[in-house]
Amino acid sequence: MSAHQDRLFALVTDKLGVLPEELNTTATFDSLDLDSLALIELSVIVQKEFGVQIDETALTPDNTLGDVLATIDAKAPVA
Amino acid sequence: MTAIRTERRQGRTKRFDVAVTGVGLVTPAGLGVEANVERVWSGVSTAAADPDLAGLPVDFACRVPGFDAGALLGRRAAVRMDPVSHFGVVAARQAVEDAGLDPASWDGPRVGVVVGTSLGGWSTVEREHGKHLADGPGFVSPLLMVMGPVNMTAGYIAMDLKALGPNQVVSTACASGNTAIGYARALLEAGVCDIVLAGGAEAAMSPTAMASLARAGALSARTDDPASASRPFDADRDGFVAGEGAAMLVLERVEDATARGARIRARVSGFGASADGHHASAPDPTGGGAERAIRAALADAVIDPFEVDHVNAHGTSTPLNDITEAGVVRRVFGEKPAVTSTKGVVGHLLGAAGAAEAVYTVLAVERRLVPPTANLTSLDPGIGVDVVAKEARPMEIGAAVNNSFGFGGQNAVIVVTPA
Repeated sequence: MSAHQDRLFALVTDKLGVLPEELNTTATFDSLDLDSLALIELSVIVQKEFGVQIDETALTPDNTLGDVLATIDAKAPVA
Repeated sequence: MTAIRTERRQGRTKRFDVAVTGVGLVTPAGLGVEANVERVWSGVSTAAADPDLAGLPVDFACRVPGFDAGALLGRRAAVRMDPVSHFGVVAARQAVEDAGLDPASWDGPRVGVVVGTSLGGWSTVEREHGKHLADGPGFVSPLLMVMGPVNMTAGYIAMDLKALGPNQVVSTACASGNTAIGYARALLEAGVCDIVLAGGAEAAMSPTAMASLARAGALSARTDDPASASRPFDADRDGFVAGEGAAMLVLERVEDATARGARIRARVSGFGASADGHHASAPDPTGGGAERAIRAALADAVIDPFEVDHVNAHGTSTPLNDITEAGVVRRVFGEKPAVTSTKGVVGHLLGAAGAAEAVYTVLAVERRLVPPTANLTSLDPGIGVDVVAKEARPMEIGAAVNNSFGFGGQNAVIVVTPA
């Protein structure tokens, strides 16, 4: 499991209103009912909170929070 | 031309009533009719020190208590709305339920929405502006554009309740709520809609908006005793107390409401509007604009001034408004009507004020009970009208008037009559 998962999931619940029980690394954004506005908001959150610029290809309706975590893990500055 | 103008100026010969079949309230007095009746009719102010305003010249306000948007609307929906829309949607839901209507079965395209607001999603704009300045444009939320603009409250009500007819926001500052009711009535009279959800919403409790109102000298500066700060018509009044919330009414043609067996709480029988054309924030000292709006509403309702028993005044608790308004009420109605200002209890809900006070007027007519003006201990000797103080006054109300006057000199007045 990504070291960043708990924090990302908490942010998605807090800022985008997705219930904790809906969150996992494999559900597509489409299935989580996160539309294009919510996905851009997600990119802002990740940039602000993790210092990571998200590649737009990781933010289509078919992508998942697992994809976002993989990007964060690859790019996040070492604490 | 002259003959036609004269006829129009004199109003109708036959009244067009709309039935108020449901009301919803999200105000500093609480959520729903019951909480509001309990607090407003007991005349106890809701103003209190507000942690969100700490450090500002005026650090107290009338806030909606115990409002959990996530619990009421679902978190996913709530995070995409400014509080002004939270309040508006919840008040609209209450009103529809109160009217005994089921959005699952109504003819959506025949249901309109008209919401009044002055500042819309101002607090979201302010927050995102802060992010822009602090971190740059890449950190501005894309959701700002579905949260900040004034139209969105009406849009979210449509999404929530599948009210698919004409959908709009009107903005006439502190008269917005009454203006919305007036336009809603016109949609019903024209046959464009069968049901209109009309009212107002405001949630402008942001530091910058409140700082501006304080610096303009509009707010009471009674920081040592907030609970007594909103005191309409009192000799010691020194400004209004800012409030927040929403109020919505379900309006239908009387024959439609009767045909479906709905409970009619009261009727909206007239609407009048005008502009002072005088000053950005101060009322025209002659009261000319306010008087024209009142007389237009009476003409629209085919009612003579002597028939009016109750006036829910704009009554902001500012020195200028109250003395000017009282002069107009005296000039139009004499000393007969029982005047009240419910702003003593809930403060000034700005764009929602007219709507909340319209609902209070409806409830006063229905309950035959005029709520008192809170904090009125020493009537300003210049007022010269019968202001209800201390406790609610039982009385038959054949017709009532709800006044709303806004910054910009925009005036809107409605006439309410019994079911």
